[in-house]
Amino acid sequence: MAASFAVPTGTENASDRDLMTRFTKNRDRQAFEVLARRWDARVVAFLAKACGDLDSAEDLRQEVFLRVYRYADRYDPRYAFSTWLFRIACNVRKTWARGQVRRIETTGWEDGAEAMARMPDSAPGALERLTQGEARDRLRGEIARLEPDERELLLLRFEREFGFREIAEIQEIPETTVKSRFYRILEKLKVELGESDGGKGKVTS
Amino acid sequence: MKQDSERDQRWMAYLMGEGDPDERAAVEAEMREDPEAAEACRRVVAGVEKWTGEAVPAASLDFEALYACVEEEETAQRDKMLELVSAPQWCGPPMSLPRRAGSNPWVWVAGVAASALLVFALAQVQFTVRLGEKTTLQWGRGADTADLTALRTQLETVASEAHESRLAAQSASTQIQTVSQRNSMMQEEFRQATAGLAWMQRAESQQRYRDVETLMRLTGVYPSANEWTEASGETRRQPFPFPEKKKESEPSSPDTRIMKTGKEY
Repeated sequence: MAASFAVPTGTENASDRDLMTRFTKNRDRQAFEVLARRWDARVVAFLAKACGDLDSAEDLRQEVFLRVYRYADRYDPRYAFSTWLFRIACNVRKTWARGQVRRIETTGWEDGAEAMARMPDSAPGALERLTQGEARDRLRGEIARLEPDERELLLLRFEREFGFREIAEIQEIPETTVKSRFYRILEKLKVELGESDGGKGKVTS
Repeated sequence: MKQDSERDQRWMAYLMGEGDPDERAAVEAEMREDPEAAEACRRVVAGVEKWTGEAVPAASLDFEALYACVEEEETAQRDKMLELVSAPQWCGPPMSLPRRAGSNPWVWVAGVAASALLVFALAQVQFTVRLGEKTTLQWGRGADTADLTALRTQLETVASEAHESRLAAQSASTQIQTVSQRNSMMQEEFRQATAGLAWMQRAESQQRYRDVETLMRLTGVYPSANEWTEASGETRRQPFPFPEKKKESEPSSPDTRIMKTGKEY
């Protein structure tokens, strides 16, 4: 999944915790860059799929790593770096979403409608443009119609990086809630696909 | 529908690798009974998994822009701190040193105005102080200033009288001390005189005893207690010196019986 990058010798094999420790203690930009490159592709993919907008995802990715750089001393090495990183990513995405909503509320009706049309939640085509070769995939269309929080949950769980406990820490909600919500989303996708297929339940992947 | 929903969620959990072996075996048996629904669940899970695993054609992270943003923030923060430190409203006005007295003319103006106002206010009020039954001190608006001279005279008189009273009190105290000393001396003299008189009375009484005893020996007549009391004028306090006992054959008189027993019966 993550692309391979040329990293300086001595740091490429270091763990995330070691790199964060080096960066926190010495402000070692080399360690920070290794860490950022290691997680950049996952973060931007997560943000792009959750937001449904690649351009916004690239900007948000920049903000995520800026916060990592700025608040590195707040990282607790007892926990996985990925959990902390994706919690930042979720917060950045939510902040971005709130900004979108505020802009709609403060503009007129026509401008708000235009902004709503540009929003990924109501514009499944935006997400479909990310996967141009599978634009006709109904499953992706149904995923694009999900709420951003629901897409975020699917992404976190299917990344195989996080269990329900880690997702609960990232989203700061109870683990049982995460679990029930996750399977409810999957079941909802199955029902929607079954209805769109005329009850046949056929899904192309 | 609700049962289907619960079943689908249970099957999805199975497809996500959850559940212990017994639960998984049970789900597998259920899925064999309804292969079409099981296939729908499999396709959903597989489709979502494929969607999440796809790479996104995004540009790589721009570290130069990120560092520029960091430096910009740090510069802005540093400038803000410098601005806060140098801003007079942040640290308050400069610490004022104590002013030299009278350096501010407005202080004088305010002081004079306040004093004038106070004098004027006091002049509008008449104060009366009663110094005695006949003496009253007045000042302020409408006060009788003629009384001040008389008041002064009275005060001088009172002071003179007080001085004389003080001297008289001192003299009286001295006299009291003298009288007290004299009284003490007189008490001592009285005590000595009393003691001498008592001694003389005792000596006279003893002499009288001896005279009576001599008389009784010479006459052989002994008075009774009542007669003794009547004769001597005092109560006998100690045994009288009895004469030697006479022979029993001799008739005893009533007086003799008294002398023997010391009691009257």
